Amino acid sequence: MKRPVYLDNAATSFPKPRAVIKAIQNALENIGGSPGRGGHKMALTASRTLFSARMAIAELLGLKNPERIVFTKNATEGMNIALKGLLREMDNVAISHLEHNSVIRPLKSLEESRGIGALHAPADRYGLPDPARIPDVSALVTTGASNVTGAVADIRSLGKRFGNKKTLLIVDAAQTAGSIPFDTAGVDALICAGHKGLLGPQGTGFVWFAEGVDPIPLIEGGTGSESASDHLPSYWPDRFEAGTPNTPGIAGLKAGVEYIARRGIEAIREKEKVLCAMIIERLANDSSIILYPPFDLSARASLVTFNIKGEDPSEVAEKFSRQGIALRAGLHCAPSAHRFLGTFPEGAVRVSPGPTTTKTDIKSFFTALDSILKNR
Amino acid sequence: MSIKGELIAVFESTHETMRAERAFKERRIKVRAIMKPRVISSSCQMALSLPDEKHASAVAVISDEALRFVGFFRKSKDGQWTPEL
Repeated sequence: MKRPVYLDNAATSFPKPRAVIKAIQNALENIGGSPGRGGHKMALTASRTLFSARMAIAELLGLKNPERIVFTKNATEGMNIALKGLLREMDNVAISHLEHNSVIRPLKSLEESRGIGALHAPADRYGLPDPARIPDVSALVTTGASNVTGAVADIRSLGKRFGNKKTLLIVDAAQTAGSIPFDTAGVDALICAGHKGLLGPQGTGFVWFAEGVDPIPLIEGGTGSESASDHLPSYWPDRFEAGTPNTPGIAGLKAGVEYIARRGIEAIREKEKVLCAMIIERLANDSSIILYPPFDLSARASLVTFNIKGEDPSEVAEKFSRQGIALRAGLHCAPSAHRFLGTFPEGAVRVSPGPTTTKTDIKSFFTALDSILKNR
Repeated sequence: MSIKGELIAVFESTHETMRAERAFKERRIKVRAIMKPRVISSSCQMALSLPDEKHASAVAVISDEALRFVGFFRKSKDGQWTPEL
């Protein structure tokens, strides 16, 4: 069966580099043991796999204290650890207009259980927090880049504004880690998916906390350490990683991170910008298309969101699917962003190139688009 | 398998043990990761066995890398593990 042209990298990247597939296969065939549990060679190799994955991630993203990288099954779990572990009774939180349900839903739950108040931070024209106008709050939660519009937050300015201040800066880097270089200075908690820009398999992700930012663990259980105690160890990462981790997945994530390090985030970013420029140029010049901002390539992640006038976005995505083009329509688990964009509740169509997308893939998308528009 | 007279270094956690293992190898100190003897009170299950003559070098690495270190332990001829000061 011919593989579709995959343009849904904002959901999960595909195809993965061969090195990622090989690393997962190697872990399943040869590592076997459970990290931190037992001293036999396979358990040791598993421990080294997690250790070296943490080190590789820390180096790629410029994170201090790699032991403060907590592996999770996705960015959503990381965000839950951050929000539920750090926010206290009656805290007030400012969020961007573009947050994913991984932020909205935990905050709603915390509003009901702990009386936490959440409000939209004063925003720039793209719905992102304006560093100069953030009120005095317990925490500011912002996406690094919106999964709906692609708008990229100014994390550097936010870090300068909130670094070492009492307001926690919590950044959802699901759409930026591995894809867009960014400065983590001043960031208190960084949440990343492993299976998007970092090219690991699904079921991987992590959250990193800065020195002195110590959340309450979300789950308790066996860690392979301090087993005689009824309590979790006090030290990182064990305190936050109860239960057997996804060693094969993390081996794949490590290979993905190393692949990106070899290619360079800047080089990937530039390549994806070229592809997005092609898409924007084609869509912007078509009167039957509604193209959503930002239009400045440096202000957007590798995704372009649009609608065909008078067409249901889900039906448009279905038409693309029939023509062998994989992209995503709907609300993208971010209804707030679509409200801001004016596309709620029907949503929009999102096309998202990745590190392995080619110009030929984009031309195939254009061919399919031409056909869809012609046959309306 | 531990042998009599063996010297081991114990760290706070598995992560820290792995960090130490890497740091020692970078300084050409040959170590071997082993299961920590149960009688040594530490949260980590692992320990690093190292040659006697590398004791001083290992102390320097632990200091340079700010490793979270529990201590050195030596196995005596009667099989008892005692802290190495």
